[in-house]
Amino acid sequence: MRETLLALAGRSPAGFTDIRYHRRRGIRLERHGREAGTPIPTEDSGGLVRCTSPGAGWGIASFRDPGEAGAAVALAHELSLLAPAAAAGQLTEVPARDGEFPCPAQRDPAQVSMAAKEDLLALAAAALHDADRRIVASRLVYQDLLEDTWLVTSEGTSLAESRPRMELSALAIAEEEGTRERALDSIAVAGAWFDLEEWIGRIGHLAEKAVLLLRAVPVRPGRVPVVLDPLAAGLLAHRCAGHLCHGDRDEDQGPAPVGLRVGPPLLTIGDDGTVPGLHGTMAFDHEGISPRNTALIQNGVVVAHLHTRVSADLAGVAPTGNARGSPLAAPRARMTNTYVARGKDSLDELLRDIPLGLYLAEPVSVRMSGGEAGLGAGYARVIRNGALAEPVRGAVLAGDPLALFGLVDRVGNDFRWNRDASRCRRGGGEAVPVSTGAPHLRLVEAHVGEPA
Amino acid sequence: MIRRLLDLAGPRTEAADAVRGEDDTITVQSGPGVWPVVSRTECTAWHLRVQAGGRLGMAGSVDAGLETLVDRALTGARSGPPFRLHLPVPSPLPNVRTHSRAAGVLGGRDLADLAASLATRVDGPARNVAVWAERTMGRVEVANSRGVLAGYDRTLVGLGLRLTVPDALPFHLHTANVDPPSLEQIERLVEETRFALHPVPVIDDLETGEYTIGLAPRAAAALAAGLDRLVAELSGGPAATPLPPLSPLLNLTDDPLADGCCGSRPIDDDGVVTRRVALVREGRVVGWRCDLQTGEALGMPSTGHGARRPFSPPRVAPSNTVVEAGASDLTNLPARIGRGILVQVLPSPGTRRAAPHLAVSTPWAYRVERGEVTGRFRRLTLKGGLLEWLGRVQAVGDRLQWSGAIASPALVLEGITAGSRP
Repeated sequence: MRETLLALAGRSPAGFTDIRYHRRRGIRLERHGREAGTPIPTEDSGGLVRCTSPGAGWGIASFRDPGEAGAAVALAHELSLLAPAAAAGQLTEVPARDGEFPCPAQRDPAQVSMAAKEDLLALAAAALHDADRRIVASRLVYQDLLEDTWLVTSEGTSLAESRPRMELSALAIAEEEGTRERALDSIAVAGAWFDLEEWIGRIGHLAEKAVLLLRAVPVRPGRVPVVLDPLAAGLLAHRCAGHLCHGDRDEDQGPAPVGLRVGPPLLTIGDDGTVPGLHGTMAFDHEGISPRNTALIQNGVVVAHLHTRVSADLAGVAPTGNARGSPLAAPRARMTNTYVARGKDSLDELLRDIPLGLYLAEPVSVRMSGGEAGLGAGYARVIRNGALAEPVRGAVLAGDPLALFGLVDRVGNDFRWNRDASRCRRGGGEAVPVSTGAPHLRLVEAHVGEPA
Repeated sequence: MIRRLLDLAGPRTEAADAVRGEDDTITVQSGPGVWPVVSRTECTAWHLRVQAGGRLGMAGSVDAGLETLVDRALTGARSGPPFRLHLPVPSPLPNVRTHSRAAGVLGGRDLADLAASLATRVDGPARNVAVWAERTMGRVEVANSRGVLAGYDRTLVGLGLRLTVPDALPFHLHTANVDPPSLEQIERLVEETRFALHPVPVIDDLETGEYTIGLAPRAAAALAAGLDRLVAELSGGPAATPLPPLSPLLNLTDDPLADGCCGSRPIDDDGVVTRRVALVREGRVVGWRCDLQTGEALGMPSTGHGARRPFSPPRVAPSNTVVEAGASDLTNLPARIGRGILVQVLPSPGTRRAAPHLAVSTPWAYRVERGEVTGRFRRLTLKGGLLEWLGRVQAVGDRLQWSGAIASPALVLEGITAGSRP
C-alpha cells in the first residue's frame, strides 16, 4: 500500500501532494439496564489527497478505494488551481520520514471474543443494579476500533500506523421519591483489555455516586474558593487553554498571544502526544510530524501554540506534530494529551485554609457561550473548615476562559493522566480522541453556579 | 442496488429494511490567515436492519460489498435483543422539492465566485471576513421487505461568513437551501453583517435588571432549537415529564414538507412517508416525533422521523423546525422594543436547556432607546431559563426567516433578566 501511494504522490503534477488513507474496523455494543442492545460492527475506509503549488491554494479530494487515489490526485491538483487567492504562505520544510508502527497482536481488539465483550457489559450492568435498589436505569456502551493509517507525501515521507482503541462508558440513574440523579464515567485504553476488566471491578462506585446525589442540595450561586479534581483541572486546561492555543487561527477566540500572562508563575500547561497508552497519543500526526511535548503556558505566560506545517510557516516556528484530521477532513491543529504540570502542594494543603468552598469533580461538560466557559461538575462537595463535607449538585464553574487561570493560587502534587474516553470536536468537526492530565488545582473566589 | 441488498437479505431474514445515501460535496473556503481551499468529498453510506430468528441485527457500511453487509447484520442478530420489526407498506410520496438542477451543476469555480462576491460586499477596514460556500448533491434510497422502494434526489447549497472585529467574538452567518442562494438571501446576509458593523459606542456595563428583549430571527432560532430539543426530551411519550405551558403566542411545527429547505424530504430513512407534525400549539405541547423503533416502544405509529447513519443505532431526528409566524409587524424591531435590548445572535442553550437557572451570553446585542440602536454591549448575559423566557414571549413577528433547518420570526420578550456579567 505505502509503495503504491508513494508512487502516486511522486508522480503528482502539483508542487506538493500528500495522501492519507485510513481503514477502521471494530464493534459497538450497547446495554440498557440488563437488556443487551444490537451489536453494530464498524468497518470503513477512506482517504484524502491534498495538493498545492506555488501561487495556488489547497485542492482536496477524497477517495474510498486505494485504486481511486490516482484520480483523486488529479482532481485535487485541478481544485488547487481554482482556490480563490494565492498569497497564503508556504509549507514549513521538514525532512522526509519512513516508518511503520504496527499494533502488537495482543492489543488488537479483534483478539477478544464477542462473547467476552458481551459478558463484560452484562457484568457491569449487574454490578450497577445490584449495588443499590435505587439504581433504576443504566446505559453501558463498549466500542473498539483498530485504525490503520497510511501517510505519504511527494517529499518522500512514507508512514504507516496501526492503532487500537477500546472505550467503555457507563451511566447510572438513581431515583427516590420523584428525584432522579445520574452519574457518568468512562475509560479509554489502547487495546489493554485487562484495564477494562479492572475498571469494571470498581464500577459500583458509580452507583454509589448517583445515589449520593439524590440527597445533594442545589449549589448556591456565588464566588467561593474552588478546588478542582484532576479530571476537572485537565478538562479546564483542554478547553480554556488548549483551545485558545491553536495556531491555525480559525477558532472563535484566540489564539492567545505569546507573551500574555494568564496565570501565576506556578501554572504550566502543555500538550504531549508522546505519552504511551493514552487516547490522544499517535506515532505521527496527519502531516507526518512526530508529536512532541509542547509547553503552551509556562510559569503563567503563553509561550507557544499548536501548529500544522501551514500555520507553523505563517508563525515562523516549527510544526508541533498536532495536525489531525479524519478520513474525509483535512488536518488542522488539534490537541493530543493536554496537561497541567505537577505543583508542590498536597490535596490536604489545598483544602486546609478554606473555611467555605466547593470541590468540583468528574466534569460532565464544558461549554462556551458568548466567550464565557461553563464547566459542569458531575459530582461536587462543599469544603467546610478545610475538609470535604456534604455533596451538592448543579455546580458549574463559570468565567472568561483565560481569566479562570488567573484565579489559580495553588497546584497539587498529585498529577495523574486521566483515562476517560474524551473526544474533542473543534469547531464542530469530527471528534478526535484526546486525553488530559492534571493534579488538583485551587482557584480563589471563582464564580460557581449558573453556567455562562 | 438497494433492491439487490434486500433480495440478498430476504431469504435469510423474517424482515429487513435498508437505506442508502450518497453525497458529493464541494467546499470553498477563503479568508485572512487561512490558506484558500477547494475540497471535494464523495461518500456512499448504507444501513441495513434485519429481523432474523426473532432478533434484531443491523450493520452499516461505506465501502463493503452487499453480501458482507448482510452477513454482518445477521451476525449482529445472533446476539441481538428479541424484536419484531413492524415495517411500513408502500405509500404515495408527498410532493416536496428536495433538489434543484441549478444547484447540481455548481462547480468549484462557481462556488469560489459566489464566496468572493459575498466577501467583496462585506469586506472593509477594521474587520476580517472569512467566507465559505458549499454544494452537496446526492440521492437517498430506502427499501424494505414489505415492498417499499423509494428515493429522492437532494441538493443543498450553503453560503456563509465569519466576521471578526476588535473587541468581540466572531459573528457567524449563513444561509442554506436546496437552491443556490438568491440575490435576496445574499442581500440579507450583507444587511445583517452591516447591522453588526453599525458604528455605535461599545457599552461595558449593563446593570442587571429586567428588560424588554427583541430577538432578531437568527437569535430567536437559537431559542427555537432549544425548545425543540426540550419537546423531544421531556414530552416524548405518555410517561414523560410534561412541559409547563409557554406563551400562548408560540406554535412550533416539524415540517419535512417545507419546499426546498434544508431538512425537507418525502420519506424518512425507515421508509415511512413524512408529514407535518404539530409540536406546540398556543404554548402547549401537543405532539412529538417518533421513528419505527421508538414508536414501537411507545405503542404509537412512526411520524416519519427516522434517521440512520452507517455505524450507529437508528435515531429520531427533526426535519425542519418552524416557529409559526405571528401577527405582529416586527420589521422595525428597535421601534417595537422602544427601550430595551435587541439581540442579533444568541448561542444555543446547549445541553443545559432544561435548567431552571441558565445564563446565555452574546457579544452581539444592542442597547435600544427611543426606538433607536444607541450602543452595542461588549457582552450581554440573559438569565433565567429557557422555559421562563419562552413563557414571556409578548409578540411574534409576521415574517419567517430560515437559519439552516430552523425558521423563526423575530420575537419580543418582556421582563427578561439581563446584565453584563454572568
